[in-house]
Amino acid sequence: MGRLVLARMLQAAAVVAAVVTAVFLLLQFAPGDPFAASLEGADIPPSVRAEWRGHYGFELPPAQRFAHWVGALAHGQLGYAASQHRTVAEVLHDALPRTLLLVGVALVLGFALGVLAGLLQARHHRRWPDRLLGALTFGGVAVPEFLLGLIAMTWLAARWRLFPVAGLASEGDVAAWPLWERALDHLWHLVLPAGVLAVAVAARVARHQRAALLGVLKEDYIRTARAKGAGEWHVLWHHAMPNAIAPVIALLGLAMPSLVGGAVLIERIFGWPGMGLTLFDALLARDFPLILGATLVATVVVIVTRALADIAAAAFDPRGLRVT
Amino acid sequence: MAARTWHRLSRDRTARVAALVLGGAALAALLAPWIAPFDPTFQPDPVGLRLAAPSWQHPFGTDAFSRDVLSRLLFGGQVSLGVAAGAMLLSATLGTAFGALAAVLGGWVDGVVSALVDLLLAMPRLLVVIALVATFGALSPWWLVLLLGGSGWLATARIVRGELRDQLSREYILAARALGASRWRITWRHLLPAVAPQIAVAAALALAAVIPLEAALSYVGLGVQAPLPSWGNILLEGADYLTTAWWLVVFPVAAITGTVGAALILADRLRVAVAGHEDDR
Repeated sequence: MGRLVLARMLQAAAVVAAVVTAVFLLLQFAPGDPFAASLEGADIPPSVRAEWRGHYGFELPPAQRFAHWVGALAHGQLGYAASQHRTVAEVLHDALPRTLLLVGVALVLGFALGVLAGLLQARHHRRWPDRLLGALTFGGVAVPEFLLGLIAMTWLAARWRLFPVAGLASEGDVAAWPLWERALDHLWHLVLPAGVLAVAVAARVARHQRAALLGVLKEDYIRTARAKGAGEWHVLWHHAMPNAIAPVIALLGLAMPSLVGGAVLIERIFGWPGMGLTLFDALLARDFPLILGATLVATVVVIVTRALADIAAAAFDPRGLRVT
Repeated sequence: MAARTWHRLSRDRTARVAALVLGGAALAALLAPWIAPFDPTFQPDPVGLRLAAPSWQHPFGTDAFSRDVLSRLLFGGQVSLGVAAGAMLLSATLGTAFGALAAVLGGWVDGVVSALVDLLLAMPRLLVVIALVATFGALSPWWLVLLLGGSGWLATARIVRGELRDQLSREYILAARALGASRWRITWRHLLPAVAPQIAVAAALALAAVIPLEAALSYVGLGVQAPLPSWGNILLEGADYLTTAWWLVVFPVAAITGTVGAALILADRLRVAVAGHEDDR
C-alpha cells in the first residue's frame, strides 16, 4: 500500500511538471505583450516600456524565464490578471472553492445515486427495474452534460421558474438575510448545475456498478453464501459489494477529467462564478495569464484527485493491490 | 476471427438500427444541398418570420434572423459530422499507429508511448483544447479536425496496444515468424486485421466523444464560427431565446444526442460481437 501511494504520488508529480512546462510554452506562444502600446497611457515613452520589460524579466533568455516562472509558481504566484485588476491567484482563490463545491456535491450525489441504481439493477437483473434504469443510465451517458444543462435550464428554470436561471445567490439585499436563509438560497442556486452534473456521474457509476456486481455475483463464494441461506440483499451488500466497489471508485478518478470539462460548461450555462466562468471571462478579455493559470490549477486538481481515487480504490479492494 | 465478428454484427438488429441512424444522419448531411428546403443563410423575412414556430413551410421553425432551422441543421450536420468523422479517422489512425509501435517494438518505445498516453489521459481534454484555441485564435474546421483528432487518440492507442500484445503471444504469429515473415509484414497482414473490430469499437467511442466536444466548443463560441452553421453554434444562437423558441434548442439537441447515442450503441454491440456473447450472461 505504501509503495502504491508513493508510486501514484510520484506519477502525479511528473504529470504536474509536464503540465507546468506545457503551460509555460503556451504562454510564450500566446500573442500580445503586457507592455504593448495598447496599454493605458499611450504616451508612455518606449524607453520606459523597455525598462519595465527588463524589470519584469521579459528580456531574459527563455530558460531563465522558465526558472523564474516556476519559482514564482512555487510561491503561489500565477501572474497578474489584467482584465480583473487582481492577481491570478486572488481571482482563483475566489473561484476554485465554488467549483470544488459544485463538483464535490455532484460527485457525492452522483456516486450515491449510481451505486444505488447499480445495486437495484443487479438485484433485479433482466427484470423491469434493470431495463428501466438501464435505459435511463444510457440516456445519461448519451446526452452530453451541457445539453442536459440547457434543457434543464429551458424548462425547469426559464419556463416553469422552479429554480433560478443563473448565479450563485439571489439579487438584492441578500447580505442582510439571516445565515440559514442565505445558505438555503445558495443551495437553491446549486440544485440545477450540481444536479445536471450528478446525473452524468450517476449514469456512468451505475453502468459500472451493475457490471461489476454481475461479474462478482458469478463467483463461487456467492453461491456458497446463498447456499448457507443468506438473503439476496445481504449477499449483494455484504458479500458482493466489497469486491465490486473498487473498480467503481477507480472509475471516478478516470472520469475526473471529463467531469471537470463538463463542470466548466455547466458553469458557463448557469452563470456559476467558478473556474469555468472565470476561464470564459478570461477568454473574452484575452487575458492569457488568467486563462493558463485557471487551466493549470484545474488540471492539477484533476491529476491529484485521480491519484487519490486510485489510492482509495486500492484501499477499498479487499483482494489487496490491484493497480490499474 | 475478425470475419466472424463482422458477421455477428451484421445480424444484430440493435446494431443495424444504430448504423441506420448514423448512416442516415451522414447521408442527410451529405445531401443537404439537394434536400434542404432553403439556403442555410437565406433570411426571407427577418421581421415577419422572426422566430416562427414549426409549420409546414418551416418544419423545425425559424431562428432570430428568419433562417430555416431544418436547413441550418442539415448544413450544420455537414460541418459537425464532417469535423467529427475527420477527427475520428485521425484519432483512429494515430491511436493504431502508436499502439502498434508500442506493442510491436516493446522495450523503451513501449515505455515512452505508454507514459505519454498516461500523461495526456490525466488532462481534461476540453480544457486543453480550450487553452490551445485561446492561444492560437479561432480555428477553421480543418484545424478543429487536427486539434480534436490529435487529442483523441489516447484511448485507441491503449486498446490497440493491449489487443496486439495479446495477439503477439498466439501461435499463428509464431508460425508466421518461423516462415520468415518480417515484423512489419506480420503487423500489417496478421495483427492489424485481427484486431480491426477492436479498433472499430475504439473509433465508435471516439466519434461519440468528439461530436459533443465540437458542439460544446462551438456553443461557447470557440469552435465553428458563424456564418458557417454547426449543431453547436445553432444552439449558441438559440440560447438567447430559450423561453420563447424551444425549437432552437430541441432539434439541435436531438441531432447531437441521436448521433452520439447511435455511436455508443454501435460501439457496445460491436463489443458484444467481438466477445461472442452478451456481457452479463
